[in-house]
Amino acid sequence: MYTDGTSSAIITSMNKIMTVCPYCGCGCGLYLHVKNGQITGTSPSRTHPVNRGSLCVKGWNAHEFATHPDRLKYPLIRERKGLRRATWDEALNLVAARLGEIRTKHGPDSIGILSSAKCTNEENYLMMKFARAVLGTNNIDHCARLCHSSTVGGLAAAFGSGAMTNSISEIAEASVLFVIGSNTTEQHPMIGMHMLEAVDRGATLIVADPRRTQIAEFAHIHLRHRSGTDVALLMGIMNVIVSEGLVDADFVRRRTENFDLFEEELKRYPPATVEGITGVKANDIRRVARIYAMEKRSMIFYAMGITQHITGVDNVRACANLVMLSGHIGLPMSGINPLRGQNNVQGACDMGALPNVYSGYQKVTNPGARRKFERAWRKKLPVSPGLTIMEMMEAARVGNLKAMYVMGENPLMSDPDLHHVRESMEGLEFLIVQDIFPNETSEFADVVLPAASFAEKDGTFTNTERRIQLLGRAAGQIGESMPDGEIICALAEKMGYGMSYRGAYEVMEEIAFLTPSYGGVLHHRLSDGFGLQWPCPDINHPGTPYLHRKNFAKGLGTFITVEFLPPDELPDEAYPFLLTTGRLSFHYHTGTMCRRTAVLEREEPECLVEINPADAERLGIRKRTRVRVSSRRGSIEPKALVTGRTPEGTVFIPFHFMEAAANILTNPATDPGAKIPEYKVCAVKIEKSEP
Amino acid sequence: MKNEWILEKNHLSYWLRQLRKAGDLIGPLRDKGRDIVFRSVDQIHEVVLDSPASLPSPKEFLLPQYDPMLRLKVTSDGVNLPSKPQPVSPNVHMKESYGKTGVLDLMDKKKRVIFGVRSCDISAIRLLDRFYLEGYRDPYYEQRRKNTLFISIVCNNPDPTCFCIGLGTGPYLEKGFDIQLTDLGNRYFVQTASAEGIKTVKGISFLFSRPRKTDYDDQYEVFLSATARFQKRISLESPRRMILAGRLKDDFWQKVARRCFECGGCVYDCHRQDIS
Ligand code: SF4
Ligand code: SF4
Repeated sequence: MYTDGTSSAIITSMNKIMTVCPYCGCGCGLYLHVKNGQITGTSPSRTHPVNRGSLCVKGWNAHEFATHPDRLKYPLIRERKGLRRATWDEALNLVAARLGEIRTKHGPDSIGILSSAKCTNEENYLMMKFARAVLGTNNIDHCARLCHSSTVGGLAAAFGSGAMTNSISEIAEASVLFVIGSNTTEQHPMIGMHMLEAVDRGATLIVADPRRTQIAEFAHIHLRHRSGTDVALLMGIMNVIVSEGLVDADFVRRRTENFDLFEEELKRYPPATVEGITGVKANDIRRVARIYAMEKRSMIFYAMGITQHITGVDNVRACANLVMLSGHIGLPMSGINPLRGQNNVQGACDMGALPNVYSGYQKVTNPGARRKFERAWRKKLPVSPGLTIMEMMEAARVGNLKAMYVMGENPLMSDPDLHHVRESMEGLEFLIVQDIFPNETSEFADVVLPAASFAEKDGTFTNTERRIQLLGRAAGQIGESMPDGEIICALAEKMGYGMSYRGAYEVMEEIAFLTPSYGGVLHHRLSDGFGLQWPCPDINHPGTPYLHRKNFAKGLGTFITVEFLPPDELPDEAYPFLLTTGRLSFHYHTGTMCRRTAVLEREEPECLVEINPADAERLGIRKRTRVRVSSRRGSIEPKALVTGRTPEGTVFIPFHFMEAAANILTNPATDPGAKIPEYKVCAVKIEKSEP
Repeated sequence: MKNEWILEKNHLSYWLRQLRKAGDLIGPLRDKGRDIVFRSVDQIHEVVLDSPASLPSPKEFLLPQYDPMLRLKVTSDGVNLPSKPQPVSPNVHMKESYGKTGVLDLMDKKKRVIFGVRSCDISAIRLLDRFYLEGYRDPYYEQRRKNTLFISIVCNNPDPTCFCIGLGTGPYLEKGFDIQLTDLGNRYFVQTASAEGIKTVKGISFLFSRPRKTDYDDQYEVFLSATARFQKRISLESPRRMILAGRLKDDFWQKVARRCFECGGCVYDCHRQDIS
């Protein structure tokens, strides 16, 4: 008897499937270990250009949440007594009928969609197609609004394209790293690893952050400016560059426009003035300006510390001006690098899960682009841009938005001012939540649809360096859950719009056809190596490691004049502390995945508010005692972590913990252009909590 | 008689195929990029024989990240209630029963042959043995260790980062291995040390011949050239003395610790760290 092929030996044995880490935007390559059909472990790829044999603690434990018993296994429908199990047919019919009704009665713009930076490119594309072609609304947005919408807007205006200009593998070769508003070693650990390697090789590391973060410990110069004074700080640095004649005049003349106007504005920010605003010594500002401008191979990195302000777009523009002024762009190891948070937030933006653009940032208001999509999708498409997340929440609260379809997001943890968000959710007539776990938002849902995790589906993620990478399917479906893309297609069919594909690869073909920067991205090209970096316009193109080589995407780079504005809500007598929020290395966003992972939960099981020893002493707060932190919007009771990491007058709270949700406190004031809320600054008061 | 043989390279795949009949055969296989990973071998010709010296650690086959130990059955009086429905275990087939006790033992009893590991892995596993098998014996580790046969290959071409020569943990071992192969071009010089290793070779002895003088000469030459290629020479003796004499600066460990990303990877990868 021949036993090959039927041999059960292989099935019960140890397999490893190459895939991409589902946590952060570094996009590390990892193997999921599969034993007897079950996922049992994770190990890093040793030759992947990002992680080269390492992973951070989240990556090492990426296998655990996928098989957690809490996974949603069946569709659920709300009835008077609560959610009950339903069949797929029942649930989808209900969704199709209710969405149809609401659309007929109140118009398509009464429906809002939240797409997901956790889902694949293909799924985000399908979701935006669903919103635009099936429902007929541009009301689609996702959490990029809350993290990097300022980048997308700010850099697009300056250069024509809003993404990291360089590749992660270039970092180790750089000679100056200027990190502003990013706690890189904790938030993007593998990028942090490359930075430390650069430092080992002799690079100068400059960190600007009010907190003494882990990366700041390694910095040659640490600028501790006041939260929310980034524009002033950057203008001060540029003022020195101009006044000391360090401008790359040739670059400015050939490749940029609008310099003269900008130069005028700069005069208002001499180092002495800036010292008054930011609290950073004028001399340090001069030193940083000289080091940054005089070295070639200087890279800027920034993250939420720049973007999550009401001046988020201006902060980004200031960074863009700085690289143009010194000509540090368009070369390897020289550029401006927004570090994107979510594993696929870059991709979700690229795919047009935004209210104003189709995939590849083609504007919905551009008649040519719209006609192209109309012809491909055989449907008349809406003309005016839709609502952003924050606008949807507001519209829901006042009753203009009747239904929401939330895929893989958790606005009831992630959005600012949660009490208001709750009112919005309650104001909806119909809420659909599609996720892998029950979460704070699904408690309000009328229908809950169980989705597949990264380990159970095909598709691609795009990491922060624009690298489009293929996932590997390591396990079968959990319960009756389905990949998000298939759910969307099934729902579209129920609503009378044909959406059938043979697989994620066919969706990618459609994306490539409609999206110039993804033109040569096809699954079979991604399968041998570690993916391709966009722009990759055609099938023979090898991808682009760094951007803006000879020209900016939009031709000339534009100096956009910016002006320093203080944060929306500063400490005052009633609320004397400045609260800033962020992440911890052991946790991730709203905690649905990491808080179901034993190792991560063990290391950091509860919410701690960081407070400076001097403040703690004044208030009589001892370490690990419970305190009450309140803002004008609500209050929470975390325990105190007394540490010099956080400067006097400032407190820091991570936003992962539902028991003490930092976003109950945060201020929903937004940047006027990008509509990004100011998570990084609000005023709070601190009291000892009653025992 | 010495436990040394010669295996023609032509016969390697036949040998591996026979070994696989007794259990799972795990070997180094190519994957994405230039990755090499250890996993179950489906096509024997795909086993990588020309890999760089340093390979991923095989520790996971002795101490996996996820290792369910037992499962309790719901009895009618509700005593052994598992709180949540459990997925199928990676170690046991569905058909296995709870028996009378209501306890399903999930211990991994699969036989495995792991081909292509390195001498440093073997040396490290011997340290694991001391930790898990001396004093308190860890039954789960012991069971796996007993069921796993390691075939290690001497590194003829150490990597620039390799330092086993200074520690005496490679690239060529005198003892402590199951089966050790040295690549002599068209044939392997095969040595067996453990009882299990000897049994395995003797069980299929017609594949192997006895080494002759030229084989010994070639083997010695390979050994010399390998040891000459090391770029790192590390001696642990002087740091050991420094630590014992308290001559380390106070902030030394702090400096070391500052670089730590707290990823926990060392626990999964490195044989020497088992404090989880
Ligand atoms: S650095 Fe980011 S992508 Fe890499 S393992 Fe950690 S969480 Fe995953
Ligand atoms: S040369 Fe030594 S350290 Fe390097 S892989 Fe071989 S046995 Fe290990």
